[in-house]
Amino acid sequence: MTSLDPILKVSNLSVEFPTDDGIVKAVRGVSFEVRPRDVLGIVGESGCGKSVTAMAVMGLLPRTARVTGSIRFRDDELVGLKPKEMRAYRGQKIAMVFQDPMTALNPVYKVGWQLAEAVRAHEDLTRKQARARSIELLHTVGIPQAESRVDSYPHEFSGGMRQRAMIAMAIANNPDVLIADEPTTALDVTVQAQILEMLINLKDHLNAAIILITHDLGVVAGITDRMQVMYAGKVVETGTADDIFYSPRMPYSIGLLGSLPSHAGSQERLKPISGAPPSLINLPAGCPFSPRCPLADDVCESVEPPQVVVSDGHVSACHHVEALNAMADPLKLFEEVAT
Amino acid sequence: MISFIIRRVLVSIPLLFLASIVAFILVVNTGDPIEDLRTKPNVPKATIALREHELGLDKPVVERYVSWLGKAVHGDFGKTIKNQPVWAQVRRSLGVTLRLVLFAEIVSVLIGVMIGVVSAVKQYSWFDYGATTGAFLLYSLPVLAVGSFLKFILAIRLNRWIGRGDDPLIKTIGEGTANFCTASKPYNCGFIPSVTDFLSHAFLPMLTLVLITFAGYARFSRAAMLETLNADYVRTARAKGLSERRVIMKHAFRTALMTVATVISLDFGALIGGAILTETIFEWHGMGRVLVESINKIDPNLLLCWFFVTAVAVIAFNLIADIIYAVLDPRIRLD
Amino acid sequence: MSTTKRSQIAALALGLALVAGACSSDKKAAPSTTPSTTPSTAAAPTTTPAPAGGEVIYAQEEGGVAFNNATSTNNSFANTEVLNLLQPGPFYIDDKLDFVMWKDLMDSVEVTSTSPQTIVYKINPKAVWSDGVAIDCKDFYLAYMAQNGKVSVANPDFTGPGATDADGNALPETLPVFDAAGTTGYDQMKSVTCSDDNKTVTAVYDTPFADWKGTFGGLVPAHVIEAKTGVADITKVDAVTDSPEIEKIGEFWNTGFDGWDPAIALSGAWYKIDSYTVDKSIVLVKNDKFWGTAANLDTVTLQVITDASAQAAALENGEIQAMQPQADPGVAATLAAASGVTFSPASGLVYEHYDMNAKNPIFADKAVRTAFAACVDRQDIIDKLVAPINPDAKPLNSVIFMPQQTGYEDRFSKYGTFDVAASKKILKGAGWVLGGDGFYAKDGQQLTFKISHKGIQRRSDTAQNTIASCKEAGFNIVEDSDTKFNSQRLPIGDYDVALFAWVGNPLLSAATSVYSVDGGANFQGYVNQEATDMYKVANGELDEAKRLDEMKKVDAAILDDVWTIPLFQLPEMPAWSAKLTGPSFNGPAGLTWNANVWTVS
Ligand SMILES: Nc1ncnc2c1ncn2[C@@H]1O[C@H](COP(=O)(O)OP(=O)(O)OP(=O)(O)O)[C@@H](O)[C@H]1O
Ligand SMILES: [Mg+2]
Repeated sequence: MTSLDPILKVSNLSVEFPTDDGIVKAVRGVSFEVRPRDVLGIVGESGCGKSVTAMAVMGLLPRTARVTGSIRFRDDELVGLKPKEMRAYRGQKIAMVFQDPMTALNPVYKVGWQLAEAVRAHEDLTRKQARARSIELLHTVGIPQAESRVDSYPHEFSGGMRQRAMIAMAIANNPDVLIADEPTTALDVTVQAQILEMLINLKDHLNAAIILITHDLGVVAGITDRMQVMYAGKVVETGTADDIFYSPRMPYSIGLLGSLPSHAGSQERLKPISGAPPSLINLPAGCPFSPRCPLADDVCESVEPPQVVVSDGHVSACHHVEALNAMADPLKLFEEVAT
Repeated sequence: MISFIIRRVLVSIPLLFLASIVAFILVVNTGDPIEDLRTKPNVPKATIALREHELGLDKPVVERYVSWLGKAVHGDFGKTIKNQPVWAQVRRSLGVTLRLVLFAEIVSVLIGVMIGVVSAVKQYSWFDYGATTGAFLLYSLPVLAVGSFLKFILAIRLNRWIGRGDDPLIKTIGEGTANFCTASKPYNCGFIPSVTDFLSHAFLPMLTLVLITFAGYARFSRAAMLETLNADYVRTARAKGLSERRVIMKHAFRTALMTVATVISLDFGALIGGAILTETIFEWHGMGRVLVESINKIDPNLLLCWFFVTAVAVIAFNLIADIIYAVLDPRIRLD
Repeated sequence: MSTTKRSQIAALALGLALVAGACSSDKKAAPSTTPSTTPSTAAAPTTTPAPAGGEVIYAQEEGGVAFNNATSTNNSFANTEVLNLLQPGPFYIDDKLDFVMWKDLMDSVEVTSTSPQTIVYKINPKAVWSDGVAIDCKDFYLAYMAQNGKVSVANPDFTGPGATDADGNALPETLPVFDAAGTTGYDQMKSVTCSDDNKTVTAVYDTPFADWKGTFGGLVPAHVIEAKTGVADITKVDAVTDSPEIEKIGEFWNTGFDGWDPAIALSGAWYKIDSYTVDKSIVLVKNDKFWGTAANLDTVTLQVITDASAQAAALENGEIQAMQPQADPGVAATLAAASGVTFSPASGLVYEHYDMNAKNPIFADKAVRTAFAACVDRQDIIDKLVAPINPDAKPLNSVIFMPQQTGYEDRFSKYGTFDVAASKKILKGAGWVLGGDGFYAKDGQQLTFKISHKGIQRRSDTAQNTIASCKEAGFNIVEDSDTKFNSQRLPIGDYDVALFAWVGNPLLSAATSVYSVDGGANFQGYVNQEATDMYKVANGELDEAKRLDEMKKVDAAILDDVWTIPLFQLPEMPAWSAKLTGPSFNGPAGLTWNANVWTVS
C-alpha cells in the first residue's frame, strides 16, 4: 500500500514478569512493523499478551517487567530508555487509546482540561490556546457542541463520547503511531462501528499508522491491512487480512474464525475452541496450543513449531501447515474432529 | 449545596434526639450519683432527701429526661453534681482538646499523608518497607507506653541532662504551669511567656499524638494511593507523556485525596470527643477527661453535655466530610 | 472503681466535714502534747526560723471546688487539702489524730461546766479575715445555725401523706434549708451565744458530747453572708426556726461559697487565694493580714492531676513537689525507684472489713462467727493486696481506734488470726458436722453464705482469698459482686456478709451509729444493748482519761461479739521532692495540713 520505511519496528520482543509464583512469560518473541497509514490488527484470546505488547511499546509496563528484544521508532531504540526519555515519545509520537473509556478518563477533571493537559504536555501553548485546540479536537472526533462539552466532566459523557474523547486525547499531538487497545469492546455495536470508522478516517487525516488490538476478529475484518494472531505470548500466524480470513494455516486462527457469526454461516452453531490457554508460568514444551488442537500429535506436544512461510507475507507457526494446505475446507476442522 | 446542608441538619435533629434518649437511659443507669452520701454513717437523712430533690433523683426517669431536654434545647445544660455549671466546664474542655488536637492533627496528617504517598509511589522499596513496618509498630503501640517512654526519655532524663532538673524545660503535665501566670505574677501572662510555657507543655502530648496518629494516616493514604496509582486514568496520564511528578500529584494523589480528606474530617469529628488516653496521660483536662470524670462520678448532666457536643461534632464533621467529598468529586451532586 | 478511696475519705467528712477546715495549724511548732481542755493561755509562737520563700506545687487528684466544705454537695478531701492553709477553726487534727487547739486563733477554749456541758471559746482579738474584718463569734454562730439540722422548709414535691418518689420511697414532708453534710455535735447544742464584743463564744449543750472539739472547724465568714443577703446581724437570726432571713442565709451558705472567689473565700490563716482556674489549679499566696507566725513558702499551688502515674512522673520531673495519689502498686514501684523523691507509704484511714448480718440465722451461732474470723487469712490478704504498696501494713485490730491513735490496742488478733484447725475445732464443739462434701452442716443446714461487695477488683480478690481459706475450714462461701451493692443493698441490710470500707475517724463517737442498736448506719442489725449503753455513756464523758477507758471497753465489747471482722487499712502513698522538708502523712487532713512549715532548698 505504501512504500515508506517502517515507522515502528518491533523485533523479537519478549516480556517477562517475575511474580511470587514464577516468571510469567507474557510476550515471547513478537515481531512486527508498521508504516504510515498502515492498519495492523493484533488478535487473540484474552490473556495472550496483546496489551502487554502495546504497553511495552508505550513504555508503560511496570518496573518489574523484563523487556528484551527491540522496539524501534524510526531510528530510535525504545527498549531500555529511561522513563524520562520515553516521555518524549508517549502521546507525541506514539499514542494509545485504552480499552475501557469508563475508567480511562480521570473523573475529577473536566474533559477539556484533560485534553488540554495532553496538548500542553508536548506543545508550549497557553491555556487559552490549549482550550481552543481541545474544542477543535472534540470536533474532530465528532462530539457535538464541543464548545460547551469541553467543560463537561467525564461522567457527563456517554461511553461512546468518552471513547471519542479518549481518541481526541490520543491524537492531540498528531502521533505517528496510534495504538488502539480494544477501543470498542466496552461499547455497543452501533457505536463500535462509528468509532472504528472514525479511527480509519483519522489515519489518513493524520498520516499515522494504527495498531488495532482486539480479541474479536469481526472488528478487524475489512479494516486492517495486516493481521497477527497471538496465542500464549507468541505470534502464531501473520498475514494479510485475506490470508487469515480465507486461508488460515494455524488451527488456532481457524478456531477464532469459527467463533465468528458471519463466518460460521447462519445455520451452523458457533464452535468456540474448547479448553483454556495454558499458564504463562509453566509453558508446555511443545506447541502451546496443542492441548486444544484437533491436529495435535506427539511432535506438537514436544517441539515448539517454527514459523513456516505459507506464502509471501503469510507465516504460520504450525507443524501441520501441509496438512491444512491439503484440506478441502480447513474452516471445518473443528467440526470434523468433533463428530 | 445550601439546601443539602439544611436538609442534613434537619435529618440530624431526630437522630440527635434519639441518641440523647439512649444516652440518658444509659447515664441514669450507670449508678447512683450520691451513693457515697448514702453510705456515710452520719449524713442526716434530711440532707440526702435534699440532694435527691436537687438532683431530681426522686423523679421518674421520663420526667427527668423531659426536664433535661427542655433546658438543653435552650442551651442550658444544668449543673454538675458538684453544683458547677456544666456548659462552662465542657466549653473549657473543648478549648483544651482543640488546642491539643488541632495542631497535632495537622502535623499528623501532613507527615502521614506524605509518608503514605511516598511509600505508595515507591512500593516495595526500602522506604516503603521501613515506613510500613514503622507505621504498623507505632499504630499498634499502646499510647500509655509511648507516653510514659517519652516522659522518661524526653522529660525526666533530658531535663536533667541539660541541667534543668529543677526548672524543667520539657513538661509532662497540663497545658500550662499551674503557678506561672497568676494574679501575683502578671508579667508572666504576656503573649511571649504564655506561648513559651504552652510549648514546653504541649511538646510531649502533641508528639505522642502525632506518633500514634500519623501512622494511621500513612497506612491509609498509602492504600488509597496504591489504588489510584493502578487506576486506568493514571495509566492514561502517563500515556499522554506527562511527567511522573504530574502524574502522581495531579492524577493519583488528587483522586486519593477524596477518600483521605473524608477520613481525616471524620476522624476530626471523633477527636472532638477528646483524645482520651493522651489527655489522661498528660493531664490535659479536655473532653476526654470530661467523659472519664462524668462516668466515674456518675454525673448525668456532665456526661449528657459531653455526649451532646460530641454528637454534634460527629454529625457536623460527617456533613463536612460529605461536602469535602462533593467538592473534590464532581460526580457527587449535593442537591 | 478508682474513686472509692477518696470518696470514702470524703465520707469521713461525716464527722470530718466538720473537722475538715479545722486541721490548719503550725503544728510542727506547737508544743504537741495531748490536747487538753484546760485553757491554754497566750499562744506561744515558738517556730524556729527556717529558710523562707520558695514555691511548691502539690498535686491533687481532683480539684477542690468550694470554700464551704460542710455542704453535702461539696464536702471533699480535695477541699480540705486547700482549706488546711486558709480556713480558721479552733482545733486542728495532727498526724497522731489528736485534736490540737490552734493557738494562733484561740486564746483559750475551756469546758466551764459539764452539766449542762458548756464550752467557752475565747478568740484572739488580733485574728482577722483577709479583708481585715475580725474572725469572731458570728462565724461560730453561723456554723451552728447551718449545721444543727433543725431548720427546714416544706418539700415542694410533697403532695400529702403517702407521697412517694420514683422508687416508691416515702417523700419527706420538709427539706432542710442547709445542705449540711453532717449535724453531729451541733444537733446536741442548746445555744451558741456571743459576748465580749463577739470575741467570746459560749456553746451550751442539751446533752453531753465528748467529741465537741470536732465542732466549729472550717469556719466561713459570716460577714460575707451578711453583706450578700442583707441580713444585718446574723446572731440576731434565730438559728433553729425557719424565717425568710435564714432561708436567704441558707441559700448562700449552700452555694455562695462555690468556686474560689478571693472576695468571698476569705482567708483566716497563712495563705490566701491568688488565683483559681477551674479544674486546674488553685494558687495560694501568703495572707498579708495573717496575724500569727507566717509560713515559709511564698506560694503553695494545688494542681489537679488526676492520674497517679502522671503525678509520679511530674514529681520526678520537678514539675510538682508533693503528692498523695490513689494507691497503685505500679506507681508505688515507680516512686520507690525514682531519684530525688521521698516516698513514704502509710496506712490510711479507710479500712476494709467484713460485717455479718444478724438477719441470717446462721450467724446467730457465735461459733460460726468466731470460726469464720479464724479462717479469714488477714495477713495473707495484706501480703497480696497491700504490702506491694506499704510493706509495713498490718491487720487492723480495732473498730474505734486507728493504730496511730492514743487508745489503740490489739483487741482482735485473738479472733482474727488465721488458724484452720482452731476454726474447725470451734465448729465441731458447737455441734457442726463435717460432711462428705467437705463442708460443715448442722441440723440439715449447710455452712454456706455469700460475701457481697460492690464489684471492685480489690474486694473480689479479698473475697476470693477468704473463700479459699475458709473452704479448708469447711465453709461453703460464695462471692456476690454487685455494682449496686453499696448504694442499694447495703443500706437495707440485703446480704449475708458485707465487704466494704469505713473511714476511720479521729472522733471516737463517729462509729456510734454503726454499732448502736438501731443506729442509722448499723446495716447489719447488730444488737448489744450493753455496748450501746456504754457507747452512749462514753460519748457523754467529758473527762478525757475516763472516756478513753470507756471507749476501749466499747471497742472490746463490739469486737468480742465478732459480728464484724476488721481487715486492713488501705495504703496511702504520699511522696514529695527530696528538696522539700516538712511533709508528714495525715490521714484526715491530707499532706498539706502543715504546709505552713514546709521549706524548699
Ligand atoms: N504486571 C504483570 N505482572 C504479572 N503478569 C502480568 C502483568 N501484566 C500482564 N500480565 C500477564 O500477562 C498476560 C498477558 O496479559 P495481557 O494484558 O497482555 O493480555 P491481553 O491479551 O491484553 O488480554 P485481554 O484481551 O484480556 O486484554 C496475562 O496472563 C497477564 O496475566
Ligand atoms: Mg488487553
